[in-house]
Amino acid sequence: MFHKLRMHNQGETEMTLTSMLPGQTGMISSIKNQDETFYRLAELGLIEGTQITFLKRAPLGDPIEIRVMNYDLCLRSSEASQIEVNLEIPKTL
Amino acid sequence: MKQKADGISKSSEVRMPVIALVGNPNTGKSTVFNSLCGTRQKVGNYPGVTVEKRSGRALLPKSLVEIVDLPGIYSLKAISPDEEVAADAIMGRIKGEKRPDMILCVIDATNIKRNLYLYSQLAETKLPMVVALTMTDLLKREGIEIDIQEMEKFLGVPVIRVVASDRETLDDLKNELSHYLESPVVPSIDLDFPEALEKISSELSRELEKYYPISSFEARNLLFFSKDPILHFFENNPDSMKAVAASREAAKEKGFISPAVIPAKRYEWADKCVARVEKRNFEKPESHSQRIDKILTHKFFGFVLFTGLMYGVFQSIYSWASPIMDLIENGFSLLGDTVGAMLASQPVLQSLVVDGVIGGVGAVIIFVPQIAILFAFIAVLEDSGYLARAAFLMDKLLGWTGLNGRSFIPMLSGFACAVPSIMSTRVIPDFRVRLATIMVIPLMSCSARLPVYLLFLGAFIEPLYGVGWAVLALFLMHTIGPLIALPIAYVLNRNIIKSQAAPFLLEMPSYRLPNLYNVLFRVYEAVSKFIVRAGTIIFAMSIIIWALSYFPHSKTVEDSIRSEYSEKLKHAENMDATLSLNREMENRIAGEYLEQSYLGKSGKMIQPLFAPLGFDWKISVGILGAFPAREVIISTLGIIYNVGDSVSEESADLKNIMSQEKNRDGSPVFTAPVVMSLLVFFALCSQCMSTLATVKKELHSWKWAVFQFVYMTGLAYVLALIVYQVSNLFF
Repeated sequence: MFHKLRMHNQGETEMTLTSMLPGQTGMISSIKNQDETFYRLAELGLIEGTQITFLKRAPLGDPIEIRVMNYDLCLRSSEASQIEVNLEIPKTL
Repeated sequence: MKQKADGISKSSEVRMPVIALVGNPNTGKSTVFNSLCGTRQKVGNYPGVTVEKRSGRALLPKSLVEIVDLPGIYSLKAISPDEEVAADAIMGRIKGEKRPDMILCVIDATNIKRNLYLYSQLAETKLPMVVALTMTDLLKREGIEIDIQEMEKFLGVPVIRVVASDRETLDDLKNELSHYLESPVVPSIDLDFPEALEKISSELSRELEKYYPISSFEARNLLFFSKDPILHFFENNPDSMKAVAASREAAKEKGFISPAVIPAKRYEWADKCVARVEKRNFEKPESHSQRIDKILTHKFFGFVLFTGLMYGVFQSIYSWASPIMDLIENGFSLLGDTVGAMLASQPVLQSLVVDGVIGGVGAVIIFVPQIAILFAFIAVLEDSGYLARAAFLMDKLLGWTGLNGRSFIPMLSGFACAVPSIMSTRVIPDFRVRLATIMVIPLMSCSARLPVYLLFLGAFIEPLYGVGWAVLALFLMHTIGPLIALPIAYVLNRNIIKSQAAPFLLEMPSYRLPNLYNVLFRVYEAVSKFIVRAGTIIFAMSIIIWALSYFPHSKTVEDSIRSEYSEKLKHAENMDATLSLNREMENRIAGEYLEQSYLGKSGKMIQPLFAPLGFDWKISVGILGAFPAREVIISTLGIIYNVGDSVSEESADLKNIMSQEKNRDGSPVFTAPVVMSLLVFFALCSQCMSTLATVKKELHSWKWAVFQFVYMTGLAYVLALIVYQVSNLFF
């Protein structure tokens, strides 16, 4: 599995929501698409600085389930791929 | 900071106060509504849209009030008709609808932060507000603590804890509502938007308000969104449109280009509230629901359980509904016989009442068990939270067509019966997806098609090719539906419904026990609406079809056959022979009457149209007769082939006669290509007026029902044609 990894500082790596693995937590760094359909995602809490946890991918591959603001949301990869996340790597590594 | 709102000019002492119930989906809002209104509720329509208006009366300590249960929404910035209606209702923009006097905002205690987003918008409408805090019984399970008093202090409005199973909390709510209707509290809220932005948006809102009601937050939205639905109201007023354009320019100049500032500020505010009000126990990293989901959405077990559950639902509809349906059928038969005997002296009236009226009413009532069972299941699945999981699992399968995961269960139940399935598409919030789903549901081979499949497969495939092939054929017949439905949905969505890909966003609510009263109420509501609305259409059609198959009913038909048989009867040897001759005579008379009727004549006229499909005139009459309701074809064929109308798919007589039926040139009528073409035609053709009536009822217009009829019948015709012509080359 290839992700775009850009090492910024020791504890962070940047990637899109779709390339996360179950159990990983990250903070949203930016949303690439700014049009009206993505506004709803922002209204649901997917805004810069929000912490999200990648929960799972549906058995058929799509949609994905994430935890944001203490509730669980499912969205398709086509939308999720527009959301960039700074992965929080546990400091113990 | 509480503010007393002085003199609410919009509430009049003469008319009943109106309270709007607003909140996110999955917050238990309908439970609150049902608890407040009980059975004193009704469902109507908002003018010009397909959104249902659900309203009721609640008896509060000091008065009777009207409660309007607005659709569950995530934001007042609408992206669907439901949300548009909610926003318009709150702002008093709906023709003929009074603006609510108060908002009862339902907030899910386990999910306060996101729920506060909508609250923050509602607070900007300057309507008096009361908050009902639901799901508090789940707090312990989730490891959350909420300080309700702090919440009241922070929000500046009353916050009342409501637990569906606890009568006391409901009485509390009623008391508080009564109190605050008299002394309304309007919340104030400071979202800390940049001053420059607020200056522009409040100027715009002042300007627009001259023309039509609009709130400050909607005006702010207009600065960023050029296609906001609110603009509909101002389109015809050039001054307003100029003001909008000017304000957008001004905002851009000041650097306000991205609307992201709005959710950012709202959630900043929500954060402040949550910090003051909520405590989360971090010893529970995994929520209760997540633990259950480990199994229910597991890669393998998730599917297994899902399949099992779906099979169970499906099977229950068949096995529980069938005996009740038989009872209903027998009951109506009995009624028909009894009444028929009483009217024996008036043959036309007798036939009208027995076959037309009683038959017609029976045709409506027979659906009730299936509707009741299906809706009970769907209510339980939805309220418990499982429905979202089902949609999650199935979305990939359906997404490429423009449908989404939520379409799966309605489509699956189409295998039992399209009528309740179409009604159940209400679980799909996106109107275009719902429309596409409704359009393809009848392609699923419903239970009414089964007797026809069994009849023909049993009469032709089994004797010639054996049971194995017959069973395989039966299975294949059922797969035709879904295999065709998906590409059709794709084409429909692309070209006709033209749905823009709205994001598929699905909240996975926490698992919870469904409320029994809610479930029962949903079932009752579905059944009564069906009987009243679809029922009238089905009944009317039954009368019409009866008339077409009865008239002209010229006596001469009967007389000539009777005289033919009178000779034979004279020479009958014994009682058995007499009885059998009589039965034969009656059957022939019935057959002749049908042949001479308008329906029969139409069949003969249409036959050339069906010739390329291999159908003769008798089959054509059968097909015509089946248009209102598929099962009718069996009794119609029974009559046409002179074995009487009380035949079923098991009838050996009917099967025999059909398999021996010959054309004028001596060749058999029912060859393998004919049978296959007939089956394909039957599988796809729109032959159910109950379905069409339900489509009309759900979508509030005949347009789509007609479209469905045309496309399905056309599809059936073309495919049956291809099957016949191609298979003729091989058989």
